[in-house]
Amino acid sequence: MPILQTSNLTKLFGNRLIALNGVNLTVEEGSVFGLLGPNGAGKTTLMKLLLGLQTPTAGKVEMFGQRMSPNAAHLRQRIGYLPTNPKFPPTMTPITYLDLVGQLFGMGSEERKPRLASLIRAVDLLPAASRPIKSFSTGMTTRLGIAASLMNDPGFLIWDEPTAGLDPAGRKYTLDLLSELGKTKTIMVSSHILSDIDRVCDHVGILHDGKLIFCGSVRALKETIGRNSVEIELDGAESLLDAFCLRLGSLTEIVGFERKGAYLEVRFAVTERIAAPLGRLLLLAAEMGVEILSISSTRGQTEDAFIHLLEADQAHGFSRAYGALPPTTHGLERPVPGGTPRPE
Amino acid sequence: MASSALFQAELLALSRSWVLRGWLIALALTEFFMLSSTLLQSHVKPTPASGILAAHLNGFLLVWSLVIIVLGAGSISMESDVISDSILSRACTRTQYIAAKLLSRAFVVLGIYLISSGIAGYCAWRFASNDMTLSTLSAGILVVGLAVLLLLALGIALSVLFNNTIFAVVGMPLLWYVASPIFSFIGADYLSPASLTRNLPRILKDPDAPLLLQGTATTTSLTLAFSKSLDPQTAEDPANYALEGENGAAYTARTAVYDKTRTSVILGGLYLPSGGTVKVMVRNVTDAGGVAISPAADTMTVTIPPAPPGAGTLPRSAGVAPTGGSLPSAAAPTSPGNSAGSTGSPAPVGGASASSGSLPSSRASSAASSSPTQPVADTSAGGIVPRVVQCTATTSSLKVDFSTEMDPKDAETVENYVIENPTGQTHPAVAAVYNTATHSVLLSGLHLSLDDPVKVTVRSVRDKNGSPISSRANSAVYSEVTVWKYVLGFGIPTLLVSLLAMVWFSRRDL
Repeated sequence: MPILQTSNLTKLFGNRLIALNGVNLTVEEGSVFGLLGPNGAGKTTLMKLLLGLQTPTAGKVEMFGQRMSPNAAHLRQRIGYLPTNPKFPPTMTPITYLDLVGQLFGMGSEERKPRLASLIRAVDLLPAASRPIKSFSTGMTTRLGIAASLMNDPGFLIWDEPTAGLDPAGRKYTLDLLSELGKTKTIMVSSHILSDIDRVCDHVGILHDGKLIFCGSVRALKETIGRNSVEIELDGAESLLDAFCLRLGSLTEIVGFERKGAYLEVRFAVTERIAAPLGRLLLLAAEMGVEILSISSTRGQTEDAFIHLLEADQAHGFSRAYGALPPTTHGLERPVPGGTPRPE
Repeated sequence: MASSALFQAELLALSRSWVLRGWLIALALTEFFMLSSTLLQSHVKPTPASGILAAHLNGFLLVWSLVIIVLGAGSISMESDVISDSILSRACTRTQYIAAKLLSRAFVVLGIYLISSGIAGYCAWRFASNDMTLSTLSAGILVVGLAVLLLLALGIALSVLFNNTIFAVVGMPLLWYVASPIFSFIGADYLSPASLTRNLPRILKDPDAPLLLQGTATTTSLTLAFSKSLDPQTAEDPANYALEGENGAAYTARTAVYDKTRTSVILGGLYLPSGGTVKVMVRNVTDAGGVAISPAADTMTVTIPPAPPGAGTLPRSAGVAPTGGSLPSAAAPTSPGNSAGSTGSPAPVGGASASSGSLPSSRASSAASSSPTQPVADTSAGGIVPRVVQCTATTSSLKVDFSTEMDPKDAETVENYVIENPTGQTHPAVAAVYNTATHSVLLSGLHLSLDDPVKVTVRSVRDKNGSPISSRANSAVYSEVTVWKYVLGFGIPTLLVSLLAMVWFSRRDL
């Protein structure tokens, strides 16, 4: 059952800027949906439209089967929103602000107070709980935003670039939290950091210049590049590594490789089921005494796929006018990069 | 719950606002200094309470309007990002939010305004010459309060419309002050703050405050006619009447008798110089409802008729003294210039009567009205000369009501009526028709604008007995200044602007 569905969602700002262009998007309940796109692609605008903070120029947003609007408080009651670089009332403290948020969600004092206390503790803001928000760093404000988005224990989380401005530890904790929350909640998270999306999301949409150029599972995204590759970190003498690379050429499943120092990127002939050829590669390494420090197979693929899709979209040129992506339920049908011809 | 939470949060935010704190401090200081100086001044020169309060309310509206504008205009535009991220992305509607903004600011601003005007109203009521009633006081405070609310609502509406706070703050005063001539031009003066400022004293002032209309004198008595019924207790206290002769000599009446039917007071036991004048000042006389006589009409100069030919007269400059030694000392002039004179001839009719010191009021009145020395102008039936009671106007006609039956020939002479507006522009009537039954004249063929008061002055019109109209009550002013027009003039736009702000805010992207 879709929690979120948009149809032909379009947003123009005062006839000056086309922020979104006919976005058709569906997010199924229980999924962790990543919204990818370069800066200025329209991710934040899309999220604000989903929440009713902005009104679409054309098209519509349906949340939980009902149309979203600026006054649809009952729909936002079930959503937890974390804006990118959030701004909160500067004179309020985390306690007073979360208390207000709890009241807005209709929570009684008995439920509200323990909840805000546990959330403040969870996001590590206890020492700053009585300080005015205006004295907070970006990271602290983001953590407060995370707490606010969880205040009502929503079933659907919309987080806009949650790792922006966070230090490495904060970023790790946030991604861990997303992974954990993803087990019980539906999540939509936007980012331009591919590895974050790759790590926590099972489905992904890619926005480019206001257009949704891909919507589907992460696996389907990787498949769009039409090849599978792994990056292997090797350890051993230089001569040994050279010999290993020479022997790789004898494996028929490997169509190419490139070595950069200790890192070796290997491309397989098959696009699926790479376990068998990878197994043979590992056996070869063991046979030759080459130590393998790490194997990375996804990061590069996602980046490649993303860039491939952006380039493909650019390459379509004027024909993009007829390349509208049909409404897609991710994971249920195979996405078509660049969309499909509009039925006339 | 969301609405009350938002309301409380807004109140909390306002309480931490330095604009509000600064305003409170400045308001308290200016209120203290303005009120104390005004009240001190009113002891030197009596000032009507309506004037004091009107000055205060106008000052509040004009001086503090900028603060109110800042409070309103900065409410949305200064924090649109914060609103979006922290409030409206949660479970509340735009309507709830903007309503909380409006109500919290209205609560604070009106609260401050009511406390401020309440203090000023009490001080004016208590320490100045009160010419207001509770209802006029409330009406004045209500109307200015509505203007304050309109200002606030306009500020919030502009704040919703424009992202730039400075634009809203600068644009708002322009709109507010430029509006007056525009409203006047389109004939909607009641929407204009300038019109309210101009008419506020009239709104505050009790329209039924007693007025001293007419004074007639003999050498021994003085008859004062008032515009309405008086409180007998205050009216019959001789101490409430100060009489001052031409040379500064003070006279004190021994008796003051209130004639309820004629709403007049006869001061007896006097010994006034014939042919001279005496200035009468009425103080602390109230009407039945306790409203003091209007300071604007509590003083007049009365001419004492000259002695009849052949009768002995007192020289005006020498002052007067009782003959026969029977006049109580209180009736003698207390001025040094007058007290020395005691060689005058016997006083005329009135003087002789008063010399007994115990003339009943009815007799005194009768003596005054029948005195042959009275000029024709002051000898109408009952001793009260005809006067203009009131006038009512439309844009093309004006009706003047007289207190008694007038001479139709005089009354129907259009040249006898001067119709003018506050700027002095006159409006000649084409025709005048007298109605005997209602004692009124209908002047027609006029082209009046009723945005401003219309004043009619009647000249050379006599009653049926030939008495000319009172020079003290020969004019009347018609004004469409009514409280309900201002209530609607400011109240309806306040509601409309608030609704528009809500609609705009509901459609606005954040």
